[in-house]
Amino acid sequence: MLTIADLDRICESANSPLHKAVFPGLRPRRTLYISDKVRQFITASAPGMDLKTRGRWLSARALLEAFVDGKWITIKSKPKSRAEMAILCPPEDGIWEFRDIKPRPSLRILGSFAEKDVFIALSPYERSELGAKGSAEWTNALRDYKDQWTKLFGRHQPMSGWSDPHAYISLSRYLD
Amino acid sequence: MPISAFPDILTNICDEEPISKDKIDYLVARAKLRLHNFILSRFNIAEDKGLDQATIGRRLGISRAGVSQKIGVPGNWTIESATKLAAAIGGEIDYEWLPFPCSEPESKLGTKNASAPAGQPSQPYQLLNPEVVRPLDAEESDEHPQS
Repeated sequence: MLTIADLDRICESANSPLHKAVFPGLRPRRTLYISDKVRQFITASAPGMDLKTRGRWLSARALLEAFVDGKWITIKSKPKSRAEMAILCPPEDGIWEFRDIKPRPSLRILGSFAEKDVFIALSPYERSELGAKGSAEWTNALRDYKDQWTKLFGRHQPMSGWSDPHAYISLSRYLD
Repeated sequence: MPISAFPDILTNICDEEPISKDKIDYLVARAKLRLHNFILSRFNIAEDKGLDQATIGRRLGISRAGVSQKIGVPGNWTIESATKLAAAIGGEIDYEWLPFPCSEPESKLGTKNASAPAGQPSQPYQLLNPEVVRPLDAEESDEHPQS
């Protein structure tokens, strides 16, 4: 299992594609690591972002800040949910998503827990890019995610196997 | 380890005229998340003391499922709907002032423009040591401050 020390070591390496998320003014209650790509989106510095897209991703940043700040997090328990986080199927893979539903476009950031309250956010998407569950786009996104994980962390597996969200996140509750 | 803090969005925000829409979107999202967190935390405290969603539903004149939806989804909350929800949980909402970090000229002028209004505690905005992970607080007290 990945520890915070492992993750910090990866962040320290030269040209690391992983960053420890440090938000000005926040004393962390949870720990968040993000990929270069997520960092570019939530700092509104990704190439080609227009004003609307920047605003949407800065709103998603607010959600990540709330996570780091130890705020209550709602968890999806049924379809069509507006919860802030959800575990994706199959749950054994340990892949989660942050969900920023409104205003449109709806956003998703795929990631996994290394341990309780320690999240690694790797892949940002507009929901429409992912297609329907089970579609080719969806399947490709999950495959890309797993490839990215393996490239970064090798044999280490994400935290998985718990049905109770409190095993992953303090101050969480099912929304629905 | 080296600290690479993210760019601060709020410093110098008031130097922009008008303030850009993406930063307003960010502030709106923060405000909604704070309000949602507040209501959710009060609901959890009340729930631990025996309040259930059915009771809240009766107080609001809506179904239990409607309560769950209302509490969980702050996206469409208005001041009126949040106030109703708070009332059904057993209280009302107060607000606090969080001044933006002051820009260079303001810091030279002193803290006048960046301080909290008289009578309210100031919340200085500063980069805190991100290496120190604070423990998640135990549930807040539900006691009324004047009781």
